[in-house]
Amino acid sequence: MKSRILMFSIVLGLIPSAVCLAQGNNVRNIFFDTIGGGFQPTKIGVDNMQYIGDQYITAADSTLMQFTTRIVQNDVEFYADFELVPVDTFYLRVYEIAELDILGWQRLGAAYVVKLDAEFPGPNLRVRWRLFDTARNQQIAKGNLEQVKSQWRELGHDVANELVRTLTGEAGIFRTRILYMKRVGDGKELFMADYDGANEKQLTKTATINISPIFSPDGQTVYFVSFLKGDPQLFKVDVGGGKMSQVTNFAGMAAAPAVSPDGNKIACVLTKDGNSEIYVLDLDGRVIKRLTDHRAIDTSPTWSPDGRLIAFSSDRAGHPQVYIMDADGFNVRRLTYEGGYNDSPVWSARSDRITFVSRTKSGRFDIASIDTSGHDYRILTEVGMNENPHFSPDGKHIIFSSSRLGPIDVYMMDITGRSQRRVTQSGGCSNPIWGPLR
Amino acid sequence: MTRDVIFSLALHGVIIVATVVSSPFDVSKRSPYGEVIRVSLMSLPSPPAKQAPEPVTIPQIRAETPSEIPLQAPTTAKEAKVTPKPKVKKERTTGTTDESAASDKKQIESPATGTGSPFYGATIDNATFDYPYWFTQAFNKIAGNWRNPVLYEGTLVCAVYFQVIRSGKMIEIRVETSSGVPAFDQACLTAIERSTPFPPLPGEFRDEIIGITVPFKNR
Repeated sequence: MKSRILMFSIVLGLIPSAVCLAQGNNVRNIFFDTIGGGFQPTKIGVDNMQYIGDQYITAADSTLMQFTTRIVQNDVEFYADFELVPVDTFYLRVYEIAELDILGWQRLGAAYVVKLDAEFPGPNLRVRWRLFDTARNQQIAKGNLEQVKSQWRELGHDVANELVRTLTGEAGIFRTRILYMKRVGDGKELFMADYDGANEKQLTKTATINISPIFSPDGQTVYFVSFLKGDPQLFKVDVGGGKMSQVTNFAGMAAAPAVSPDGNKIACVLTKDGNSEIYVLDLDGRVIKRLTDHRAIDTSPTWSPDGRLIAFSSDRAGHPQVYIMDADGFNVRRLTYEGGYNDSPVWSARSDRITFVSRTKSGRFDIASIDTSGHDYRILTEVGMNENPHFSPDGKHIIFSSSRLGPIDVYMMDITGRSQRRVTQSGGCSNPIWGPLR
Repeated sequence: MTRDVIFSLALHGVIIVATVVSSPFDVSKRSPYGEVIRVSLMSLPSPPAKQAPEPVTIPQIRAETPSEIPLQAPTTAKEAKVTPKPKVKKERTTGTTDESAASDKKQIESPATGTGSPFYGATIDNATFDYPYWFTQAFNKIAGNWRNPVLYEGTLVCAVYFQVIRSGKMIEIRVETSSGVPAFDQACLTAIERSTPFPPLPGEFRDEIIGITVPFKNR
């Protein structure tokens, strides 16, 4: 009897391990079959900026060099394709060295090292950057950049943009700007800031609620919805001068504007015919065409980068889901089937993905994304209430608002959900939008 | 009585003989240190005696190996020491010229095209382009965009040729060797097209254009 129990338990123990082995094999096959080698973020070390002039420098200039280095490091750390290799001070102490050479960086795992040298010609800061391949000790690229000292943040971003251009061939996003609504008194005002939240600037002073901002493709005009005249209507404001003017004046409300990629049309939600429907307007607010005609609520239009398709959310299936239609309103098809509530779709600038707010099984609102073919649904956030996603102009990052730490603030992440960071610290910031490349 | 005495004497005798004969074996068997290894101090000078001939043999081996490569009649040791070096050099130079004459293609050496990589076997048609980092970056982008839509038990290989100009822009792309499965070929083209623009060519590189052949494998 005992031996039977023993045999039985041994067999019972073997089954799960066999199942694990089988699953492990399957997972491995799927991985190699579908994703090939897979993408690896490029590991980059950013060395501290060195002064190469022959004068004595002031403490302020020394601090300036440190801060500018920090900007470059922050940008590299945040960028989706890069991974910052931090300076290991323990390593330096053990080997009793003041700074790392190329071999030292290679030992820390960096594939590339950026060396920064500073000079101070007159009122300016001039930075010479050099990029090295650590495996070969080969200088790949170099350049000089110069700015007034007060523009040190821009100078740091420019260096990071050059790194992105050299290593990926694409335009960097570090000089782009973001827009968001911030609670001021009883109203919500429109604010603009650098992509990292610095240099915040207030664009509107209406003392009312303003929502749903969107940049024009040239980045000079911002369209938004304001309750200034009672019903919500479409307004626009000039980014440079702050001049504000009304665009639409329809019965009912206007909401959720989306400027077309060519900058000549605005897709917008109007309730003038009784129900919330999507229309295409010209830039002066005249209706060109009505796109949807359904008893259900159709809202949140977003253009594909080629301007030929529009995604929107509709509760025609009983609960909000994301749909795609041609830009003339025909050929409507449902995109999302997972999650009982999918809203606020935004089309990626790379045109391959759509991100949206999804109510997940836990009952939380999370940022999710899906391939435009309707496959590969991914949930990107894990904590707090997350809303209002919007893509960066390179399509590699997502900006959104979240109340994960209590007050609602603007956050960022890359499209895989990695390197989430808080951008605004003041609370009451929502509806973030990422501006075009500059 | 006498019988008993004789018997006991004989028994004693047998026991004494047995103990005398078996005692050294018993000691070795019962030793708690296991086998006894005999060590003699005389063996110490022997290692230098063994090492001494080695330097003599090494030149002989060196002299033999190059002489094997040209497949010539064995010569004396003195000649062999002088002759192999230029012969080996000549072989190498002729080897490279033959390769360059046959085709300008050069195997790409970068971590992204290591033996475990799906791009193993990628070639470039401009042999002067010596920047492994560029391939690491370019192939990393392609790997990120590479999706295999074909479920197939066997091995599919599709070689795609594309050209990149100085700015990193791709100007030409075509399937060089088809896998025989159109969907697989199309996925290979899509992976490269989605990866554009590529990193700009390094400033020190003289030519305006490079052409690369990448083999895609499904497993």
